[in-house]
Amino acid sequence: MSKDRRFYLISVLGAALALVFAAACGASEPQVVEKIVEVEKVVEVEKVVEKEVPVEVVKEVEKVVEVEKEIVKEVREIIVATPGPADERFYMTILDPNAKRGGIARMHQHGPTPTFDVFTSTSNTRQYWLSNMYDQLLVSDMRRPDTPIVPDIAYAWEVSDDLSKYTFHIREGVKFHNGSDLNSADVHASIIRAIDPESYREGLSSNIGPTLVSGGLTAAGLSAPDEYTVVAEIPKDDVRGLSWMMTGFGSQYLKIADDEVLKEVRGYFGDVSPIDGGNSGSGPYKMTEITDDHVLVEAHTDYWNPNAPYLDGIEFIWGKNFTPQLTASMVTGQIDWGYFMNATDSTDPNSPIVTNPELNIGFHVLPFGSGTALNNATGPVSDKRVRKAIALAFDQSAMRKVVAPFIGTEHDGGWWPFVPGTYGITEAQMANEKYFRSPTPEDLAEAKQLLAEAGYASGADVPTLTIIVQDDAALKALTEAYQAMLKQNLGIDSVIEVNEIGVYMQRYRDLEFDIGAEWYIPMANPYPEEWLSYTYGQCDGKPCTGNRGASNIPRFDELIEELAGTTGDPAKRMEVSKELYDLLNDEMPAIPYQTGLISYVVWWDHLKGFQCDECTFGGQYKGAKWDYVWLDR
Amino acid sequence: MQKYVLRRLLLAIPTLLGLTVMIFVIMRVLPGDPLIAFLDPNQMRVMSDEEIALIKETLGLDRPYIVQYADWMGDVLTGSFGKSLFGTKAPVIDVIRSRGVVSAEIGIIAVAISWLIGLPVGILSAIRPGSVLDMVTSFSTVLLLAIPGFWLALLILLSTVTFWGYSPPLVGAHLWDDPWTNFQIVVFPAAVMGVSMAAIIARMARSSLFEVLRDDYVRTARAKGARERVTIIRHALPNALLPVLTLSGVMLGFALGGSVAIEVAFSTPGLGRSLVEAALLRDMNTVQSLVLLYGMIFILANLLVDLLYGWIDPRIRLG
Repeated sequence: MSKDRRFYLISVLGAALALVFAAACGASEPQVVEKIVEVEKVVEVEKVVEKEVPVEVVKEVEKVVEVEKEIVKEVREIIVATPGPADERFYMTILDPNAKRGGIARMHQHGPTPTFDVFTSTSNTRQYWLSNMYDQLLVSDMRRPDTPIVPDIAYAWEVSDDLSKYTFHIREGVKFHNGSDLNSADVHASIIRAIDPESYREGLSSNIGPTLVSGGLTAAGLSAPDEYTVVAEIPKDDVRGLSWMMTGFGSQYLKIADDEVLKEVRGYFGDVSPIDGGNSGSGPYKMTEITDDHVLVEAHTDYWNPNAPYLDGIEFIWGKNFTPQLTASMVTGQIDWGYFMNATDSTDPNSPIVTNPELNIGFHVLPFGSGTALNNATGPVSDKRVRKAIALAFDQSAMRKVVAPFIGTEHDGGWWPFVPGTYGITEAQMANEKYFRSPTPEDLAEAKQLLAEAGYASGADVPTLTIIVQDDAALKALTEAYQAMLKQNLGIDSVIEVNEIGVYMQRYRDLEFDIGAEWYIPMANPYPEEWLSYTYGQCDGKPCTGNRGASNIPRFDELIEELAGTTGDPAKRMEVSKELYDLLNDEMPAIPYQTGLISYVVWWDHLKGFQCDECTFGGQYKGAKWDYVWLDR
Repeated sequence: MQKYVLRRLLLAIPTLLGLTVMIFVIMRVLPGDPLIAFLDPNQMRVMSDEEIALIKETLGLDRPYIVQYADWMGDVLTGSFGKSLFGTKAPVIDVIRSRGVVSAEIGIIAVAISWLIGLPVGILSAIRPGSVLDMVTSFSTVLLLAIPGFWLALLILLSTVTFWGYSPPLVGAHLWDDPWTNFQIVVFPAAVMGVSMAAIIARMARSSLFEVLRDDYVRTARAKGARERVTIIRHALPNALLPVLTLSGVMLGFALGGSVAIEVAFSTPGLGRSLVEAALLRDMNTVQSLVLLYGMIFILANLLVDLLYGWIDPRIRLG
């Protein structure tokens, strides 16, 4: 290379890089001004104190504790409050008279999603945003504290006196995003998809199906007598109650899709593009753009509600729940609304979220519980005496404290449904429950006695236990607590094995574990027999899909059947519940340690309308059709 | 030269074929089945065997491996690189197009930064060994080598958020569509990668130049009265640059493929993040195709380095 050529090359390279750096330095200049503004915000110490989250937490916990008591009443009130058959149609309207129209709201969503199929997406993580593309038969008004069920596609309905016949009147003039008209055949097909997935293809079940099915509804009982009427009839002997059925019909998981398309895709939308009506929804927003980073939905111009939607669209930006990146994008205004925020960032008085007066913090108690999975089928833990010894040795209060910095929790645990009026056992009640409290010397002595009866003279004689956990900071911390408690309280050695999610779940299926770090139990349905059976019971002669520990307790399944038949008889219900309680204590199929994970939601002041001042964020869980949300940017 | 390039490209074919077989097999023998948690990221429900079988049929994963492999190779040859198994099931080439550009920008800027910082630092250290400057730069480079990139990235993110209320954009933008947004996306990852790579370049440049400066021909140049600057730039540096160039080629390969940890830390919409997301979902087609792409990038980067050898050092003749 000649001298001149080399000199020229080096000069050009140097100049180009100098330009890049100059641009980088120039780019940061305006941010210095922002720094000054930020400092002014932090100085407003009084505001920070006003927003102190622990005060809100205590308030909300009081409310949630009463959930089970209230649910039956609540649903009955909803029915009374329903407009019923009337000439005047009910339309959801915005509460604020000064609401503005237009703008694109930006929401965080955990993703990218592996599937756009709304029927099989059991998690609210996906339901949340997919809900905007669909209508439901009935919907919950999340802006009222009691989240009543109000009309959606069904503008009115009647229920027979014996609760065996439900007649729904469907709105006229509803259009799917693909341009076709919605009528009773579509509603009929969508409910069939939910309750009888076999009618479309052999397999993929839907989330809401079991509730309606166990409520007595079958495909044969569902009919569409005319173009805008759907009738659901239940055999009189199978009637389980009004609230049971309305929970199903009003569920956020029961979406209405185009009958023709449902047939075409065989009930599964995972193989079709959801763009421009491909998802077959009729909701307020239509999906128009999907990239690796985000999904854009735009207002459905033919939406049946003349008042909605208020926004031009919503941009769902993929991110990861609970991460510092999510906190960063919230604080810096890149998103207007974030769900599943990191618990510490949402509660620490010094965090940039809490100290920002323009950011609002709410929380939602997720209706599911957490437990420690125990292998009931193989290995040392398959002996119920060992399982009970472990339960006696575990300090549940400590376990909840370990996970609290990552995701907040309520203070309940135990076998949830059996203390009247609660989802779980409170900290105070727990002191009387030997399996769910911090271990006393007597508890530990009993635990060692149980081990001895199982053939282990000391904890050291128990084979080393395998604790499995997925790669999650909270759960890894929890397993370290397990390990320490086993060693310290019982002298049992254990190993922790961290697996990625696919392997982790596979190991549950193959029962290649002794103790599993986490076991989620869905509790959205107000009737505990639904989730108890799913979590600990047998289905068609094998463990139900939620029964990770493969427990097989015949008497348990019998009692669940008995419990299901006691919805109208509180005294009998309590009697059966108590027997179930004692049975679970005796069998210890798992160790539930908390209920109601607290998920924090943060939004900017300029995002309006999605909840009233008195409302808790909890109502949002029942659906997220943001047809009444608006921006005041 | 043309023959040499052709021969190298032909030799790359069996290498890449071997890579495709290897990654294809690895993706299928790894333990665990991501489909078990397919429907429910919260793992409240696991899919039944029947459901898994149905999804596998839908995704084409129930076919014999040889058919799946042939199918994928057909897609590679047509340039689509197959389709993603999940989400919108878009062709992988779309991911490469949308995210590869961002990763490429980050990689090129990072390598440029590494040269801009690393080379002068390495040269100064080499020509003044044992000086305060040498000790300071040695300490700094070792420190930068020891600091993990993702940690530095999180530190920067935390600082910009805390002090300036700023974080990089989350949604990707092409250079030609929205240069300002694009710049904000690439500048921080490129800076973090560039600084880390600069430390490596500086260390390599220092040791390489240090050795060359003691060679006979350098002593001869000095004895003939050549000025020190001329001796270093004209005589020593071109030879000292050869290992630096080799290293840069490897680093460019890594950088173009996207730094997984740094892209994840900054939520950068690059190929590295795509690979992580695909791997976690066990999106086999995407993982296979991205790994194949990385293989191609490495081969091309190394070929480029070899060609540059001949250009920089006339003693090296290719062909």
